[in-house]
Amino acid sequence: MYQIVVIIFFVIMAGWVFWTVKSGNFTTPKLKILLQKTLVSKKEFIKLKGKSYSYALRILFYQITLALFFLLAVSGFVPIMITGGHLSGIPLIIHVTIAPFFCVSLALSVLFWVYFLRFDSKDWDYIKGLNQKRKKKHKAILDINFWQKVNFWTFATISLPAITSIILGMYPIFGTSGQEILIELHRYSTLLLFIVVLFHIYLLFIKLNNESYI
Amino acid sequence: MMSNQIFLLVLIYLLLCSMVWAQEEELIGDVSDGSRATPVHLIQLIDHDSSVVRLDDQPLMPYSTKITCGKCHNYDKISTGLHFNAGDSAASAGRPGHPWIYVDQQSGTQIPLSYRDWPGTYLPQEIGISTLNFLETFGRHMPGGGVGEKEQFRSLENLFRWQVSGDLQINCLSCHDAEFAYDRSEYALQVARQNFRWAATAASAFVWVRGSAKDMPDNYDIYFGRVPDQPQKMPPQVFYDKSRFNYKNEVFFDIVKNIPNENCYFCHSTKIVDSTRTQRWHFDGDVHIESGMFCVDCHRHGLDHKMVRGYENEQRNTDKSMTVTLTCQGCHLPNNDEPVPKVGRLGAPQPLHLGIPTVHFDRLTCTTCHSGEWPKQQVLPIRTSAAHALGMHGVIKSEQALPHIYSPVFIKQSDGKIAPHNLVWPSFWAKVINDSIVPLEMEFISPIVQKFIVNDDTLGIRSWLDLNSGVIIKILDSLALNMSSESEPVYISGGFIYRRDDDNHLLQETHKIAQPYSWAIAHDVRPARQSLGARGCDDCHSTSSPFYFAQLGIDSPMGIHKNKTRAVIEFQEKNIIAAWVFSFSFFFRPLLKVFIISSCLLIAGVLILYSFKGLAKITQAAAGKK
Repeated sequence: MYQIVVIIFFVIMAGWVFWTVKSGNFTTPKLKILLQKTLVSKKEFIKLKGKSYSYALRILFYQITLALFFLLAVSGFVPIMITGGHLSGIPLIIHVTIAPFFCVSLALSVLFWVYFLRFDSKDWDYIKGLNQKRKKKHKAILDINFWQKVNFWTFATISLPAITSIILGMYPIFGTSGQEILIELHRYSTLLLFIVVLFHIYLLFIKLNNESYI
Repeated sequence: MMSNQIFLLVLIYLLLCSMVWAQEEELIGDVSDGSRATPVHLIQLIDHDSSVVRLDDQPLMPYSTKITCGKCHNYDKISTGLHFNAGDSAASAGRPGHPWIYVDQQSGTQIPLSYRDWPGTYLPQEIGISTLNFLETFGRHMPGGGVGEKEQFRSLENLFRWQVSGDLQINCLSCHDAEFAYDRSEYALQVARQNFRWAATAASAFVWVRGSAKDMPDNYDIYFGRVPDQPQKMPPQVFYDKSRFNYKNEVFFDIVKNIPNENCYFCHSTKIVDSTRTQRWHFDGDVHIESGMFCVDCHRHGLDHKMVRGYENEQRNTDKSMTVTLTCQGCHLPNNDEPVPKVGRLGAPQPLHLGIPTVHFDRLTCTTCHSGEWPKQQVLPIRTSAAHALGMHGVIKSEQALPHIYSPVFIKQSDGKIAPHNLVWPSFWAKVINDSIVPLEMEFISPIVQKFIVNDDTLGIRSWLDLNSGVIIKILDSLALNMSSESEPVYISGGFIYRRDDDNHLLQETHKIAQPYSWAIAHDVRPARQSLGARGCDDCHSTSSPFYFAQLGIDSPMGIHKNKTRAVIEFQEKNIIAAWVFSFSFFFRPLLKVFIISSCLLIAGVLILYSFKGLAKITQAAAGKK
């Protein structure tokens, strides 16, 4: 069942990427700019002082978390799509080796980003504005920052069941049916995490395409 | 004229109908009336000529189980059962099981035989063993029937011998006789003497049989008595205990439906050869049996005696839904799909399997963790009834005696699951013809091999005699001289094929045929707390775990294989490096848990903190404050 769900999901995702590339929203130069904007080079990192360290670490943890997440996704989803059933062998070794580093990196990312991505009165105003525009049937303006915040909080929230479902399974607490529930919880919550990450990338592209949104 | 033909056709039709009806007629003992009591078997003995055995008969004849028991029970139907249908091509071979292992110490032969179509086994006739010789050798632990009484398995040269020995009919009593004095070892001795006709009778508590059909000439007449020109040789003779016969010439048999476990154990015993545990009291036995169950509580059957073997995916023609409930999962694991619950039969407890990831149930059979000997760094040798004639008078008690069987070896089965197996390395002489390899007949190789191999087993250990490369080359040379030029002699041993090259050197090659033969085991089942994983993941997932890294000795008479081993993981179709790395990762598992739990606590803490902050804002807004 899960294998079919994952395959369907990735087929849709591939279709979406194809459509994006075809429509010209996704080009190599744009990707380059995106990476330049989001990456902090070693040189820049050393130069940073004082408050800038916080910024550099924030970006660093964000990048590491994203990179590890993609490695986890590849080692987790690809074997499932091919063979179905459970992870095993080398993909499993890769998956479990990366997982603790991802968790630590994610926790630090949350720690470093949470203040900047907290909801405030502007977000409340945006939501109220959205509601009014809906009533007047006006086209809503996309507030990237608001949606990035939503993205962040959703990711942080879903990551908890995704991680705890696996760690709890390592203790003699749950029996066979409990273990089955835990593994299903892990599977579907990670799929949701993947969707959230895709949405995050989508927002980044929109931001890149239209500087007025920044 | 026409009416006569029609009449004849109708007559033939009615005759056929009556025959079919006669075949399907239920006998008195075929169908239970519902009483759970055991019927008393006070019956007359009937011999092979369908005559009632009377104590004043001269000579006294053995009783026939086929006719005596068959009077009330459908013998033909019973003979289709698992224990009797090995040679029946219509019967399903099922999962590979314990073969009959033919051993010849002098020729360095150890080859698995079976009349069933199990890959890796050979038909006895392929090594020149006739059915008569086969029964003489292995009939000791066979309950008769099948190849023992069907004429299609008899070779022409033994035709007269079969007249003397008689059929080896199904010995119903070997399982069903609960009398303590019923002597299965005596049955085995009688079979070895070719006293097939007398074997079942001789084992009974009220009969003695002396003499040997094997000593009698081919033209011996069983009704005549002694052979005139060989008076020193004793023909088979029967002596009944007169006190056991009542006035109606009836004898009481202590027949039971619930077969005592000891009756099964005569043929199905296994002894672990472990230098650290040498006494019987060091071993516990199967947890089911020790809790009071009978073997037949799970290994059930109907009149057809098609016994449930109890492994997963066992194919059965009938009663499949009931068969499933007699597997490990069928009895112990919940199945809510059944309209009527069938789990928990006989009070089977439901395992909790706390903390065991479900992937284990997809990749392993239940027996992997629960059955057989707890795995050790060196796979242990075992001795079994069928292979080592355990339970017989005069059995060779040497623990090194051939055949050499190893257990448990964790091997991936055809269904993709890993299961514990017993394993034997084949060693035999063969010939290569047109790229196919077939074993050579023992009668052909024995005289040749004897010239070159020195039997120095003066202590009677009955293990391998030393075979070095030089001797093998000499034997291969000698065999080649006695064979047609199209075929090439080879020796198979230790997982390799050995052949001569043009420079008369011994070449070692790998080939599927040289691979060890293995069969899955299910017993003895250990208690839950002695199952793999009961103490944690390290039971299997450590870099020194016997589950992956136990060393299996390569068994061969050849010196080059001495002290050589193979890791059992090679039989699991797994990458040894990947398995080692994965096992090694468990060393860091506690640290991994600490990292992950700390991370989770941090994330959860942040989420809770900001949730409360959000809540504070809401309460402020509710109070009308900005």
